[in-house]
Amino acid sequence: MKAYLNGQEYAFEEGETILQLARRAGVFIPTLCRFEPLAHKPATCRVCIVEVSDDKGTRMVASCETPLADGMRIDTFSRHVRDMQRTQVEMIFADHDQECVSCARHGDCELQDLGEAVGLARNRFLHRLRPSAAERPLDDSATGMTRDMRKCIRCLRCVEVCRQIQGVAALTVDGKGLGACIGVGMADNHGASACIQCGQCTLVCPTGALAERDQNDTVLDMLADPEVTTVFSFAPSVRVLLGEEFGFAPGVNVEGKIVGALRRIGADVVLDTDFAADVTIMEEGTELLGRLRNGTPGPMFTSCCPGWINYAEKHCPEILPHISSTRSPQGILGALAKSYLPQAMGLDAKRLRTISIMPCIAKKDEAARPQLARDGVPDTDVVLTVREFARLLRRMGVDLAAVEPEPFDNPFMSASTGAAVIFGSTGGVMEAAVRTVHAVVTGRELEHIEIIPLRGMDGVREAEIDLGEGHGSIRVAICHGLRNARALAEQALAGESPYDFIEVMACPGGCVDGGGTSRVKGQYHPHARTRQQGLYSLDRAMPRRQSHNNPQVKKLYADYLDEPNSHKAHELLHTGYSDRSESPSETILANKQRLTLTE
Amino acid sequence: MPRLVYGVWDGTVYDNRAGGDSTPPGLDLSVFDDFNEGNPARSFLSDRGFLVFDPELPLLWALWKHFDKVASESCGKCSPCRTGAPLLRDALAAARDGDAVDWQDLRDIAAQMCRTSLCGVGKTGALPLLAALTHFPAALRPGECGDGRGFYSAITSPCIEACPGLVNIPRYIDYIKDGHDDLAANTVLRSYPLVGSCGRVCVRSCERACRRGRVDAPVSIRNLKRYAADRAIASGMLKPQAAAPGKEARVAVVGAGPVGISCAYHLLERGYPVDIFEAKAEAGGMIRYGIPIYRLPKDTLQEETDIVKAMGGKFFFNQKLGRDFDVDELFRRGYGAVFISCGCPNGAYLGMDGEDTSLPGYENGIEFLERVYMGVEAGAPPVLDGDVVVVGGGNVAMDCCRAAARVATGTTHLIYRRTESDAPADPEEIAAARAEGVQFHFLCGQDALEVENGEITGLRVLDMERTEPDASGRRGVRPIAGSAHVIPCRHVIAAIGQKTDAAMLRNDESIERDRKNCILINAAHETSRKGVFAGGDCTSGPRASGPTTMIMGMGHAYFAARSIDQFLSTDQVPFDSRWRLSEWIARGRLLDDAAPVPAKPRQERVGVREIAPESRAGNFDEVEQTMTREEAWAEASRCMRCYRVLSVITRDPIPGNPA
Repeated sequence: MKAYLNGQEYAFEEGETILQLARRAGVFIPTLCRFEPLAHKPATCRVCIVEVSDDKGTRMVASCETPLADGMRIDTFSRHVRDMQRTQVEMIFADHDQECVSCARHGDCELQDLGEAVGLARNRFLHRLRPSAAERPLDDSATGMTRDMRKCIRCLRCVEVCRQIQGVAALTVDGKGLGACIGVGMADNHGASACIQCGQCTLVCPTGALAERDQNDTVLDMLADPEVTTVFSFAPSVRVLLGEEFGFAPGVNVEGKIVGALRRIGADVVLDTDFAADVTIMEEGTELLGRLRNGTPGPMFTSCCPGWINYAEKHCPEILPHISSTRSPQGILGALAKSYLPQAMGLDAKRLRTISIMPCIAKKDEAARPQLARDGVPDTDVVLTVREFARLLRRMGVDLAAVEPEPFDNPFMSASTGAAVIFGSTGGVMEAAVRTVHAVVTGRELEHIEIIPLRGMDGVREAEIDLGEGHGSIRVAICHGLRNARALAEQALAGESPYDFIEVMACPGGCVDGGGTSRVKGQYHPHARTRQQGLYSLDRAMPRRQSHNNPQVKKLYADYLDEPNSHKAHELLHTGYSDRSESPSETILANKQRLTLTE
Repeated sequence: MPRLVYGVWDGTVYDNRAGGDSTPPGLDLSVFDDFNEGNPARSFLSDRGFLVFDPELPLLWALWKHFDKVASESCGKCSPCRTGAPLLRDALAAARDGDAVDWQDLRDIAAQMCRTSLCGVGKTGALPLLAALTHFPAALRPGECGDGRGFYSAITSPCIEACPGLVNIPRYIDYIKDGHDDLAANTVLRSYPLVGSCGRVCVRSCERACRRGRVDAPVSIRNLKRYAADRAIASGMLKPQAAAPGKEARVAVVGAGPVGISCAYHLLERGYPVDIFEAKAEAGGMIRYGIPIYRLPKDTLQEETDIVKAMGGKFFFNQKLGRDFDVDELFRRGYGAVFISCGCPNGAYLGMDGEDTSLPGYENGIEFLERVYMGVEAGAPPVLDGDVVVVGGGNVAMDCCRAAARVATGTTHLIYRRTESDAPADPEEIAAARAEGVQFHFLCGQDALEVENGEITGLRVLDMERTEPDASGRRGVRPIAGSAHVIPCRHVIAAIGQKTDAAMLRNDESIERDRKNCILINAAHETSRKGVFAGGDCTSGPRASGPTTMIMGMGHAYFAARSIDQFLSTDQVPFDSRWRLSEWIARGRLLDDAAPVPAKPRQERVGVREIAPESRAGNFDEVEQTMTREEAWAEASRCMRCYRVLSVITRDPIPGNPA
């Protein structure tokens, strides 16, 4: 079968759409709502309209949802078609809040790109509809994210990622007409909703409608306050992520430059979350062995990922007894930075403020957990995502590329190992744990510490680790993306799990593709493997590659905690979870008030 | 018949202002006679254009009113309709008031909306406006028109019009797609409380009307409804509550079948105290005793009939009309209105020469299904020893043969005198019966029971052949001479129809009935006795003809409740604008079913997961499983929202229609 695209003849197979043909032929048609990586094509923006002529006549169609037909003639480029495409974009802008300068996507906006693509020079409709746009909710009730529906263009990509990738389905489409926007189901607001704040939606939102809650001004206030001692730390993955914001290739390690940059902006103390990751392994590994020894029903699930914890608490509370009580590296770092560190360094703990740089939006929510505060003071004061931290550096005139690398120098909480570094990738926590568990049980290091079956990007991966004669073996599994986590949790709850220990990371790919990492317009996790490889190369280059060999960790236990899972360690480094699942209910009559339908 | 003064219909311009009487071919203008009695139409606007019957009509005002409705229906997902609709509405309102507007601008937006919108609202909502701007710009002058009460507008679609309950199907499908299972279920709850029950047993005329069927396959509408009910009602997400009392007049509902339950629900919601009288010991009527449990688990039904109880409806069981009370008695007890929906509880026998209905092994389908239901509920389903022959081709016959296949020790046969494609039963039911081992004999008619020693040994049958089409094109059947043969069996079940209970109104001859003893009702469900309304299987009238489907009954209940409300609150002759509009649509074929459907990529209809046929024998476990969320989202995304807005403007105010 043949079709004619702007006069040029093309053969095609049944089922191919006009847009697919145009892409194949290298003919540009502007699009907005469509999101190829998730095969998402809601056909709501209607920007990709073209004119087709066939035996049924001439008409405008959306090229994304119109299959080719034999003999069809398609015009993508006439003045008439371009005018209609531009009118469409004018209409989209007409009901879009245009406070661009204050937007989280300032300078990185797909809608602006679209305006340029159709040559939008003026907008006939702009001021006629803006009041209605302003009536849509700006919801900042969630700890980690903002939901600014004045900026929503109804592409529904967020709904798709929330359902398809995470299986959370917290996001809904609410309202009608100009009031239509993304809602949070039957919940009163975002904070009270079923959302777990993984932030994957912020990676696909083409505008600033869904974004991280920006806390840079809080950090600037702390930096400006001479009474405050600022304690910065950054997550394992951040060292291979931040470079992208400053022109480095994905996966390039900029650890030293980050340390240098932090000193430039006036950080008083610079710690490495890697150190806390090693402590996590000591605690979690010991906990696992204790559970196995005591015959506690397994499997045990990891606890470092706050998106997973939120998911378990809100959507699958039955699994909570299976989750390790060990705090996440951020939770451990915060606790030690406000107890061990002041004692060791002679600092006034009351003046300390801990600032954590993370690839993650849910970490903001984790920091706000009441379980992770002492006497009402949070162990972690502020969490900045990678995107926010890049913004902070730009606000302070620091170009990472121009910063000289500097080493960590804190003698108590900045030493790292290869095991800690790979925490940033799916499979990394498990691999790090296995390295240490093996050594603890057998008294010797694993011969091959790179556990290949645990690496890669398959949704669920597993391995069996032989602990040597007399000790049997343990079966471990890894999953990423909550849809996969749900399946393993259900298996465990049915008593059918063959595993002893399961690592969960909510975001596909793990922290390197967390909700707080750099976005790439129109793409979903395009640098996943490069970022992951960045961490594995770093591991290989480290002089010490097992958590139990971290000298500062040894010192911590020797000087302060005694031993893993000691009473003091439990008090400081472990936590608890609560069932936050809610089955929303409403009377039929009350619910009826929210119906948007007429006769 | 009104005279068309000017207008545009299906793209053609008609202008009789200077005389003449050109009219759209094939459009019967007599459809647009009085909307309500004595109230002629001045104009009609829809997706197909606009027709003006009154030369004095301010067209701009009419377009604004119509468009105001369109804008209020814009879902807001696609850009041209979301922004175009309010821009046009505001511009039309300004022009109506005499403000200057940029007409070129207006045309651009209207064209953009019509030509590039995603669904029916946007694609068709601005068509009358665009037609007027193009062909009758001079008629667009400022001006108001009365108090606006002579205007009625509704949104509909082919599936909605095909549904006797007029359920807003695209709306609930959209709610599912949008993640609001609660609102989806509540959309159906506006029409009736038995959402999960109907979601399991509905005959789904909507799916036959579904235009997606012309792209690939109809949307699986019934299963989506069931999904919404299972997610939101069965799970307790939506809870029934006591209705707000407010009305003094009490209503008696006679018969707690689906129609009575549903009518009571609507009246309770409107604040009327309602008492429900039921001849049997439990609520549900035919869908409890007649629909087998493998299709409709009775806890689902119970939850839904309990909604009425939670709202304050009082049930009086074992109270039979004509035996324990009569209509006079109800009025003596002080009820302001009576609604009769006591169904057709009696099954028909085959009526063969000399048949003995007391013969063991010979029973009718209604008796059989009730016997099976009682047995299963009591934990001891009946056992049919030997082979069984079921006679009939409707859904009751399918229920009988599928139930028999579960409890018979031998083979179950079904005979039907016409062809398979003539059979009124749902093809999916026929397929399921086949899968469960039922042997079908089409073009096979019953002749006589074979009896030995007072026991059935077989059914003598005759092969049939089709006759040539008669004048109306219908083909009948006739027996083939010499084809008689016997299907050996121990049981014969007659599933060929059901009848009202002749004793129900024996003391009230002022309520007129037809020759089949069905109560005669008008379009407003009024009987010949003031204050007595009726609906469901026991009625006959403009939209009723004896035994009918559950969803038709839901429509009866909905409109009857509205009539009863009007009767009790205004004492006016009940008039229902929505029902009247549907009548216009049906008579005038106003929805234009021939309009081309947009080309779309094929998207598979989501199938239903079922218990394997080999696992069904001997039990009454529910066969069909509910959809998963993922399946429901995928299926919901197949809906094309073939919405249209239709508006009528009349000379005088329309009853029950605020400005």
